[in-house]
Amino acid sequence: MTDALPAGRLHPWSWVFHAIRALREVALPALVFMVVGRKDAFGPLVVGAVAAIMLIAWGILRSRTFRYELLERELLVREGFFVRETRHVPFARVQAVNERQGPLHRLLGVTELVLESGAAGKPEAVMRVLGVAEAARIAGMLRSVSTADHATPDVVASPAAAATQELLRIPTDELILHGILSNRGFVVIALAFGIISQNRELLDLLPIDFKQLMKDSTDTAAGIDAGAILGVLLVLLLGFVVLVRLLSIAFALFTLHDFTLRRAGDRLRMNRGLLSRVDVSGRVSGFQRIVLEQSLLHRAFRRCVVKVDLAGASLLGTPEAADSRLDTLAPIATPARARSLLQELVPGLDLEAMPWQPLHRSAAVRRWQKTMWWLLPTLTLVVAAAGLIPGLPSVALPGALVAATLGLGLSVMHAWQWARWSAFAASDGVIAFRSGAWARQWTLVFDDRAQSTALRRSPRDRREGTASLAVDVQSMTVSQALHIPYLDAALGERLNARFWRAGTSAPLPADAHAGSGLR
Amino acid sequence: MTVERPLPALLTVWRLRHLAWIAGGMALVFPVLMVLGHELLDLRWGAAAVRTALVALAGAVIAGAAIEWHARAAFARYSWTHLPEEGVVVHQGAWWHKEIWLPVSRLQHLDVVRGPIERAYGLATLALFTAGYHQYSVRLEGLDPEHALRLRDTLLAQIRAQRLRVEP
Repeated sequence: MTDALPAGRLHPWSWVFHAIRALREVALPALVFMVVGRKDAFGPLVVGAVAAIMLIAWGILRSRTFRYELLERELLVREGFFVRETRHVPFARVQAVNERQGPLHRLLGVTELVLESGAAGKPEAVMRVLGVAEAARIAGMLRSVSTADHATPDVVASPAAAATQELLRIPTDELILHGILSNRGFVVIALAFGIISQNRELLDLLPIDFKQLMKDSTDTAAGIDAGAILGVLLVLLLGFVVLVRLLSIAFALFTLHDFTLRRAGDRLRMNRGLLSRVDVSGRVSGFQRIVLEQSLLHRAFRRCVVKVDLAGASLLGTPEAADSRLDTLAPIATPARARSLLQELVPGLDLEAMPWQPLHRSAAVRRWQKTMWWLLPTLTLVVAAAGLIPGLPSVALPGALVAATLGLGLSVMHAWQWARWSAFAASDGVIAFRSGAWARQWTLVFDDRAQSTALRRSPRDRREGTASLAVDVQSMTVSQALHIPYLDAALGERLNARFWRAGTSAPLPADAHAGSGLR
Repeated sequence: MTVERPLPALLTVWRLRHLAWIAGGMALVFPVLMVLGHELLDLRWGAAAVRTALVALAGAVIAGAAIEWHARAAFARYSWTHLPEEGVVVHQGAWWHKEIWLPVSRLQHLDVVRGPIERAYGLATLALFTAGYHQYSVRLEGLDPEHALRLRDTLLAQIRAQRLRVEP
């Protein structure tokens, strides 16, 4: 390294956050193990002190060796002590500028800045942490430079596009509804259970004596009839359900507080959070897939969720990576609002007006047969157990038979409704697939953004004259970005040809970091 | 624009690869079966070894026959078409037929790979990579090495030409 050191340094408090991260990633499990393992009081203290010193030293080392500099067209980053790494991040390649600010960050007046390109995997630069003003300077510069540099000419040409436009803001009553509709309460409960199971002593802090309670209940159980026990259980269950929903509402109020989605030209920016502020951005031209989801509850309240997959989504990265990038366009919206939001982002797209075509007529039967693979053995097992296990009450077998018949009936109904509602459509550069029976979802993929496509034919497909189409895009989706089963073979080939034409006639630069503008 | 098929030697390479898998599987299963025979069936070690060998041989023959049948079916279906300026279409799969469509404009990089067995049989593999996630690479196996290099160079030239068109 003969070059001069880049001038930019992280914020003086950076070492705290590096130390905390190291603590969370590696040191915490080891520390808990050592502290819990030791019985004497002196050991944990020494171990804790040594660990704290090591963590602080690590934090100082990491933050002191991180240097950066904003050059004319790129960001220069040099980091690492043992392995020194110098990276040049051209502004044009930065797809997403994400900021994250927890309570401690806000207390110290700092923020974490993460820059991502379209490449999957690690972010291009993680600046942990910067002063708020410096972060705003860098983020603002990146946002303006890359919008001007890389948006398609027509976006730049229209002066209105450069102005910031608010697309969505979610009021508090909608957040409460979101809390009721989503199941996030279980996250909080699971967290609580996890903490309690790790530290049994916490139970002693509660004003309830569990052992006495158990003893009391077994003593009195003999004298209470089954009806009363059932009643108590029902009340407990109801209480639990209410508690979970209340926690879910609280979770929504904290994490989604002041949710706003804004657009400036090609750039989308989303802010949310009460204690931890999240400020993430991404490019509309980097959209790989849009998914609308509706659970049965959502349908009852006429609401839906709109999600997006951007190029290079590091879904499989660290937990905070999943939480700190642009992945949701609208956590809750009425279908009409979702439709208008989609229209604003993808001109000409109207979900309702799309020419929806049903799947092949064999779809219902095949979908049902697919559930039979696991449902039939399960039901057989339940009925056999009810009939063969000695000592069960006499209602067990008829009860199991009724339940099995009900299960079979429901599965037939589900498959039939699934096939009746599932459909695909192609219009104006977008291929859409909607599916579901009770919970529903819509998947939208842009035909010019497919990396590759695959037409599959199983032996059954060949008999029925059908095929399935799978589309791969440039983001880390859990399953195939788009998978349409039970397609009439000729229609499947036609859909595939659309992707092929878009892929071969309007070439996306193979390093799709530049993205291609939405038409 | 012609349909290309792998060289017949590829089937031999696949067979050798399968043979190695079967041998490896047997090496894992053999001691377990032998101990089970000794402990559960009260056989002496010698008798256990003989019976295990017979069982393993029968298993290997059945598995080998199934794999051989599958390999032949897969080989018969395996083909690809290079559509100049457009991309590559690959047909594969014995029972579950799969047709992969890969536009030239989506190719990220190309590898020509030659493993020891492939070298022995004068074959090469051309691997095509995209920026996708679930299907980021497609392999064209059983190519003549010179043809693999030629195809790679042709595709590279097309990629370059397309990029020039996009970013002059």
